[in-house]
Amino acid sequence: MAPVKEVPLSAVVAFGPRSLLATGTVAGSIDSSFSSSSSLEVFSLEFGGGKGITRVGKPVTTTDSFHQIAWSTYKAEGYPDGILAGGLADGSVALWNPAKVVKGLGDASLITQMPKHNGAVRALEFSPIAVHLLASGGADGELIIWDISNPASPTEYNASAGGAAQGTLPGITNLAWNPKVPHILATCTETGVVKVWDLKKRSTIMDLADNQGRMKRCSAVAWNPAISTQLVVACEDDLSPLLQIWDLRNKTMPVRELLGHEKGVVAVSWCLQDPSLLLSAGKDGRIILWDVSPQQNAPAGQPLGEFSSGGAFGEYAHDVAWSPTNPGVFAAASLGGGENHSGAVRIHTLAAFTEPRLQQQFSDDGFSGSSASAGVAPPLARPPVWLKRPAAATFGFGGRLVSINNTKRQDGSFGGCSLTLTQVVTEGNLAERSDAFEQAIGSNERSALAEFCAAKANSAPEGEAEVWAFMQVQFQDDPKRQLLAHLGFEDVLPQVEGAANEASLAAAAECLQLTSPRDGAAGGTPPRNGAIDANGNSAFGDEDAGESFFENLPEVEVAPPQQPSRTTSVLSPRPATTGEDHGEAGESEAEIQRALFVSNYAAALDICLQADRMADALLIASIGGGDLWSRAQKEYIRRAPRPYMKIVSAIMDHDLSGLVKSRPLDKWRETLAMLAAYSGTDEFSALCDMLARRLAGAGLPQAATLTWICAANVDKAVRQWTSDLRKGPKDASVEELQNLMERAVVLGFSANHQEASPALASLVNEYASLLASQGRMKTALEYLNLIPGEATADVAVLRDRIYRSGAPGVSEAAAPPPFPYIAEDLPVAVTAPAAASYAAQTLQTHAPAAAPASTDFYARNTYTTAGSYKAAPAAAAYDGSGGYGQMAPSYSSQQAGYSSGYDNNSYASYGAPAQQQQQPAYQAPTQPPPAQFAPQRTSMQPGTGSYSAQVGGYGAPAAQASYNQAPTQPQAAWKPQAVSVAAPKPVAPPPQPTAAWVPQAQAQQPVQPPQPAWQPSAQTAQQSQSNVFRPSSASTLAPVNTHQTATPAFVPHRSPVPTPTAAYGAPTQFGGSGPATPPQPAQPPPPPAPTGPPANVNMDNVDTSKVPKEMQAVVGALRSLWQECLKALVGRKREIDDNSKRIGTLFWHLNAGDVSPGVQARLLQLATALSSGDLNTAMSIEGSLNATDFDECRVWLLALRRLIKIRGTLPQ
Amino acid sequence: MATAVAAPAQMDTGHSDTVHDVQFDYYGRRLATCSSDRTIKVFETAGDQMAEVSQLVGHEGPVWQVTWAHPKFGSVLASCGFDHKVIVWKESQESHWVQAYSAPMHSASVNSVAFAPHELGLILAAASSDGSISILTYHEGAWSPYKIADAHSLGATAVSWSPAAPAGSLVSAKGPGQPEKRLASSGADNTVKVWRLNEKTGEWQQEGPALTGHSDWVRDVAWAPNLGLPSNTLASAGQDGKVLIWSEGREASGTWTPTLLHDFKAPVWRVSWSVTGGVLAVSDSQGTVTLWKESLDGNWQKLAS
Repeated sequence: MAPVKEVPLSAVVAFGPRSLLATGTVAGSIDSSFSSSSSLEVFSLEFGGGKGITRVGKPVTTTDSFHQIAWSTYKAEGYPDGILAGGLADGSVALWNPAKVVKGLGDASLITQMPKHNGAVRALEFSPIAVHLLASGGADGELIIWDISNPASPTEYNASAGGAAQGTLPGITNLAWNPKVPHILATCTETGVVKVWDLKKRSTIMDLADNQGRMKRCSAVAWNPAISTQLVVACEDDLSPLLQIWDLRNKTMPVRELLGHEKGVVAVSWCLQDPSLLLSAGKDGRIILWDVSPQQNAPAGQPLGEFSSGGAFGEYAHDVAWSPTNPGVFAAASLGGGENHSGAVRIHTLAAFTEPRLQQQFSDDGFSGSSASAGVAPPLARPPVWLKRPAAATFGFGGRLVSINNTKRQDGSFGGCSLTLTQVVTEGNLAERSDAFEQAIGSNERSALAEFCAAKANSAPEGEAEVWAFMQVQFQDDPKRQLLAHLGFEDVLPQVEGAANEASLAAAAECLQLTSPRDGAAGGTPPRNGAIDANGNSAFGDEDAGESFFENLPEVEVAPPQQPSRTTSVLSPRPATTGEDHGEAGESEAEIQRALFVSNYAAALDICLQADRMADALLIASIGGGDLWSRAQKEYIRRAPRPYMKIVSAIMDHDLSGLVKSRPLDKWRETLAMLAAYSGTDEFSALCDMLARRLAGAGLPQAATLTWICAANVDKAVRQWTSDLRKGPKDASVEELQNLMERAVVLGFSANHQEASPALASLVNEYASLLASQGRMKTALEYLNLIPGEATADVAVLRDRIYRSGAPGVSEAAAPPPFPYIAEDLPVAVTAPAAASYAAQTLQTHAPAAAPASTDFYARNTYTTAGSYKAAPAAAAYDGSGGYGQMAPSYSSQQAGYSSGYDNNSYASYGAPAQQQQQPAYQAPTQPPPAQFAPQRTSMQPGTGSYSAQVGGYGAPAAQASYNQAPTQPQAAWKPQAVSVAAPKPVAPPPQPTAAWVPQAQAQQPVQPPQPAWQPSAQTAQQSQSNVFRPSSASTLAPVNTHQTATPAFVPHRSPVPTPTAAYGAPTQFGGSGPATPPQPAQPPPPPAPTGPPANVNMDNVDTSKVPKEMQAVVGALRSLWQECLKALVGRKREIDDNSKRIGTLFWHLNAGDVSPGVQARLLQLATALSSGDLNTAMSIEGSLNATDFDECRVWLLALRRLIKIRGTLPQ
Repeated sequence: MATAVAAPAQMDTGHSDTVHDVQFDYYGRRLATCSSDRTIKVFETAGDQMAEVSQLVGHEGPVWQVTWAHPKFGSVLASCGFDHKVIVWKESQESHWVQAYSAPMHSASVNSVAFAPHELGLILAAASSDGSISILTYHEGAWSPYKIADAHSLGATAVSWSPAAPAGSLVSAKGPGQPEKRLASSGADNTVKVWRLNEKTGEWQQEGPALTGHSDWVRDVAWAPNLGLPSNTLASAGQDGKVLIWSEGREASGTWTPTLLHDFKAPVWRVSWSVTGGVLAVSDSQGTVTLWKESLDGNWQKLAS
């Protein structure tokens, strides 16, 4: 019983404010130095610190030793810590100012000393009600009341009106103020009489005395803090060491006697915080805790606990006092037992009565307590009231709050306790908004989504409105054109329809880049407007609008030579050119002429350029073709520093990425427009992404996200939004989160991505979590189901939690999600042997190699439920399971023989049988079972049910173990499986209901390698446990909510039990089911997006190994065409790369086998033409493809045309 | 900041003496109550319906608190009581609970028990009137006890674990690094203390000085979920009627600053954070439950009920 605090003093004690404790040298003691000096000291208890006890100030010398010390909370001015009073052996009552003691003023702390009593002042107490009243009782028998309103000069009243004759009164040994009635107090005397005083009457009103005369010398008296008519009195006679509890309403005999001390009782303290607890201290050194609760009507009170205050020495315990403020804390003072056998004042808690009895008192070893075999005290028989928590409300998942409501009857006894379940909703608007949004997007139709965006764009604040407008574009037909319109170029958009527009733009780019006059069909005329296709493609019929797209683009046009004057003025980068010196001009003209005579176009061009005759240079270059043409173009652009020239240059070189890198960021809209206009579908995303990253890097998040929206880059856009949201100093408001989430989800739809965007998933998860926290579980689950692709770990966790929350509507529609954790099942050490082996086995599942082959899983595992389930089908199985039992018979009469245990199995979450089984209890017994149960039952067949719930709760780990030990299967083959099952795969897709359960065909195809291994294992199980497993069972579990009775069997592994390991891996690995697909129970899976070649596909890396044999000719012909053209393209890396990519794309499609038959046929013709060198035929085939299958071929058709043309320029 | 609270559902517990605690399981589906009648009861909820499904008998005195383990450990409860015991219960078959572990962990009343975040494993902390805090770890079939002696000299009243993910990490499931192994305790010494496991020595050590601010027993302490929050937050409830919110410095780990949520003028027995951390439920000795939410300006506002 290590005390909490200890100070080696022989002293009486009084608790004060601020965890202060006053001690006064106890009368009749001599300390170890035989000093007889007396002092008053104040200590600070500081319970937050260590064991130490700190003296505050310094000791105050007193005139004599103390019988009693009292501390009033009375706070007159100058007495912030109240008043200390001492009853001294010299017959005086002294008052000190504790504030001064604390300050260290020592003897100056004395306020006044009143030597009034003729004899030692053995009784002293402040009134607990009128705290300025102090009562003192002396050995002279006098009771004096002191009014210390003015502490320096107290007023004195004699308690007895007449004033008894001196020396005739028995000496007062103790006194106590009544806690409820301020003018009542009790004294006890050395003759064993308790006198009750009425101070108003200034006389005693009652004498209480033991009628057996045992209470020869009373030592202490105390009132019951709760029952003001009760008091306890202690007898200090060693022959009758007892305490008596008296009730003033019956003065003939005490209510109760407390027997336990072996020597006289000298001090008593009634607990203020729990009046059923009483402490007494005796000369036997014991401190005893008594149960004096009113309910305990036994005439003899029982000690709750005791300990010896003097340790091994059992020294005289002379004082004990509960702390008036700190429940359970008390001080006990003894004359011995301290250091050097001195007295000690110790602070204890109730734990003193139950702590192990140790020799060593100051054990810092936390384990010594539990290791002490001797003297481990039992718990107290009754708890103190301050430990009884009367109220508690706790939150649970889904914003549910549960609180306990203890009630009391009038007599104070327990009157029952109810639970209150509350749904806390802190975001009232959230529900409405999420409903509206859900409704809007529910159809998932692009037109509806576009409308939703449009509505948002009209109503949202400016910045956000634009986002919605951009997203609206994504849902419309021909999004690129819509985008251009939205970017403000509507007025200049060509009046073309549909995809032709894009084709024209692409072709325009091509013409600017490649077409040279040599190409014949244009008749040596430079491309006008870039619009005249070599093949006269009709798509260019009306290109003016398209050309004027960039403000002054038409100006670029190379003017016909017959208008030289205009040309000069228009074309010259320096308008003054026209009037330039004609002398020199004449010279150069001659030289040009000379060069032209010998068809030295290069020289002629050089001279023209030197002479700054741009128009001539361009004309000559157009005749020269090839490099000259591009040289002239570049030179012209170099000399014409007009803003749009950069654009022209980029388009010419098809260098859109260069454009993205160089265009000023504040013109991002125009850049974006150009990307939309000029880039192919496949490169558009990448270019947008590049632009967006630049914008984001330059601190233009809004522009960046808009661009990402165009790129359908959900992840990036959402990430940007999210980071914007998180920048604020505080959490995002719910409103902001809702806005963001709506944008993100809609964007997710627009992109129609199959794969998940982590940022989107995280955002929707956060939102769904918020919905769940408002109790909107069903909606939350629906949102989670909007996330495409595999569930992230967080989503899987939330989905599991919502699904199994039992909230209405969440577990009806869909199959249970897998349990997203790895089970670490806690085994139970119970006495049943079966259980013990089960426990052992469960552990072994974590160490696959250790699984013994001696026992069978099903046999072992069945122990949990076998007792009831195996014995009888249906009804009997439910015995003892509460409300459900009432319903079972009706089922069994209708569907005899199947076991509802199966239901549990298919529903169970952890510990699941309990959960499902209770559910029907909510229904009135006469009602039919909940809808979701019924179909299940109808799908059962007699007999199957006896494979009961055992797999449900904890089966999975064990199931895994059983595979390990399948006798017919070498263990080694199974280890990897076991490992993979046990590995953390929280993101593994849950079994999709339709694939996993419904189609028998799938289920019966043992397509998975593990399947054969599983079969024997299952057989073994069946053989050894025939009534658990039916050998005839096919391998399909009827779906939970399908009224299908055809398939009576089941595969345990595919049961929708969310048992941890079985949940992932198992369905495909052991169950032989079809491929697991992401759960999309609330909606059909999104249509498969057309898959395309990787972005970096090219001639060098494309895989053509799977190209069908007949099409290999195409590959061969195009490869040789490519090789030939490469020579002509030397040094033109960008063109090479672009063409390589495009033809590579064609190869990729051929390899993937998704080229349409018509195109294939013409490609074969093309190959034949190419290999025979018939370029004209080749070109016409290309033209026909362009005309009829543009959509399919546009990516590579452009390159094909270029290559054929280039090939035409080369020697045969 | 109004809060709409749907019409509450109510149901008698059937306990024959004062009920001291009620706790939801992980899914918010089942409830466990514990009582001075020495029993624990498990209730199943569905919507606003409740039904008793199990009664757990085994304590030899009042049961003060219950805690559910994460479902990955199976269906597991732990309880503590005045009988000095901590008992771990396991639902071995439906509605049938057996004691997986039972020991007199302490030499006085065990007042509080709490399972650690599941990321740490199956670990239990308990606070006792003997002044110590014990940490019970299940590992490979055995339970090993650890004791923080003299954690609160007059008795420990409550324990609460830190979330596993360090504050500031957004996502718990894939948070980098080691999970946090910290816990907070409250005591009859009017303090709250924070403890951290020293991974090197395997010892639990007090982190920083005791948190002083209450003038009487601290009845309860609750570590807030820190989903997405940059810093750690504790709530403490005092016999002095005060609820204090303690915020840990973002840079200065172990430095906690208190804010007075409210002075209830009556002892406060329980503080409980909503699962996502935004709302604090406070239960006072009158049985009154109030809900509090931090407003954007950092003040705590009482939600209308």
